[in-house]
Amino acid sequence: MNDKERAAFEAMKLFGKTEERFISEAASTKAACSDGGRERSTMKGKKFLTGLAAAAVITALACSAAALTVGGLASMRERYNELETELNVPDELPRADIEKNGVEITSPAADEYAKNSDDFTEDEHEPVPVNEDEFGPGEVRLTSVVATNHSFDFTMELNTEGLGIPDGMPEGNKDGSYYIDAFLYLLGDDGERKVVAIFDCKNMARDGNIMTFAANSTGLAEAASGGCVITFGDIWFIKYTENEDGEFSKDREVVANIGREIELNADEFPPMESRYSTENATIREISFSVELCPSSLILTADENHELDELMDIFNTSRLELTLKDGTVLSDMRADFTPGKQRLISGGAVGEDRIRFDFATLVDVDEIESVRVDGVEIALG
Amino acid sequence: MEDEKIVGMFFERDEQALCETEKKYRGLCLGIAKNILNSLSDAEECFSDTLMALWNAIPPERPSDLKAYVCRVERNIAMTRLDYLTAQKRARQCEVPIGEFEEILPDGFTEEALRRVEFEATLNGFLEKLAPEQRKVFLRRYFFFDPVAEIAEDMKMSESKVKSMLFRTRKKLRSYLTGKEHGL
Repeated sequence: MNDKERAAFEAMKLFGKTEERFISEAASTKAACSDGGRERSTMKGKKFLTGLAAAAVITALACSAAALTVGGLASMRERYNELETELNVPDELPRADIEKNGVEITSPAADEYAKNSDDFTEDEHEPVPVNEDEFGPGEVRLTSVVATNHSFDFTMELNTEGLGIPDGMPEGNKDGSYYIDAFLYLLGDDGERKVVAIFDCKNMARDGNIMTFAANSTGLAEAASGGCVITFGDIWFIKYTENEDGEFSKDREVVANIGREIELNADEFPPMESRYSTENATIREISFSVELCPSSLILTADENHELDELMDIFNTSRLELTLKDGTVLSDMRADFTPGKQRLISGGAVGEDRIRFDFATLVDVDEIESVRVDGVEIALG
Repeated sequence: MEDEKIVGMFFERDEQALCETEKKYRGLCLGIAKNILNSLSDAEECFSDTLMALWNAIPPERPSDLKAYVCRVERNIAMTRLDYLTAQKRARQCEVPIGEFEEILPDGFTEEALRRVEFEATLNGFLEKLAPEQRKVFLRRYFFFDPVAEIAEDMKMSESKVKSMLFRTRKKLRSYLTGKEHGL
């Protein structure tokens, strides 16, 4: 790019500082832009789900109930298998043992918690037995949780009776799945809610009126302690529409609103363990301590830096994992080569922190060392 | 939902603000980013980043015009991505009209000159002087990067009229920038 092209490119960027009144005026001329416009939407971006989570440590959550059922973790493993296929995760990457590290649970149905909210605040409590009567029409319950310091995954069941959800997938759907919007909140001392993760719970199975969903988050905004709440909103599917020009668009079609929430107690589930660097690593003149968590690699700077500096490291550093058998696997966040094998699915950058999210849960014990931008990081 | 209410929800840290923003502006934003990056998947990633940026920025910021604010954030994120892809020589298929921007700049105009003339303030002053129709067409092309055919369709003009209007406006801005012409 020569000087003139560079200047033109800069001018093009500076057009982004056009006053809002002019932008709005011009936008008003765009046909049907306010509700999808010429490019209709797909479902919410996965990257946002990871990106909203800024960068902080979170402990695992727990339901106050015993492991009464099986199958939740198998559904979670199945969901991870799907994600690994979508992201073309290399076979050599050691996967964390979800069934060993997650916890099968059967939470009371959402309404039961709402009615007996004291249950989860007691130091000692008896598991609440679940039976058909307690899992009524329209209710949800959790069936497993898989937690790390930086992620929270769960499986859940929905009793669809009375919700009017068609038995099969509606016309226009292609991926064969329903999704449920869910939000994870921390509860403050004053009961104030703070959202730390957003999920698209994906339908994995259906047995009569009972639908099983799996939800993944690859980053949480901050540490959980005390009470937490998961809310469940719309259930929807992706509808494909072909216009008269033969072009397809995708849209989110809501079929029902769940409108339920489950209160949880934190600290009962141990998160899968992380490993930490034995000493700070200096990457592009910034000193970081490093945490290798099964869900993410987190670099924490000694002090705040310009966001652009850390964003640049996030985007352009090659991340290399050396396995105990000597195999080296690598990926770069901003390498968008179609079909390439991915270790990283996303992440987030803050003023003092960079988080690379792995495309699946990794068995950190099988990692010998990590390199970021060519800098070797020894792990304890 | 009214923008004011959505902004209020951001201030209350109500996650529904994100859903409402998505519902209302996703199509507009994907259009902007796709025009810049020529990739729907990249555009979707940009929109995700935009939602994250909004969540982080509001509060403390309180946009008086949410639609324009969202557009601006989306455009800036897409441009940053384009900048990166260009540096990596991975933006060959992007279709931003860089040649037309070159036409806007006087001969020998460099990045330093852009700073010297305080380009953004100069640009807004220039836009202020344009007739509304001219301004809308100009920004549809150079802020939203819309194809000429699409602008013509939306503005109920012929493509040749849009092209001609753009050509004349580029020429005016070029003159404005060189200081040869201060009134329109």
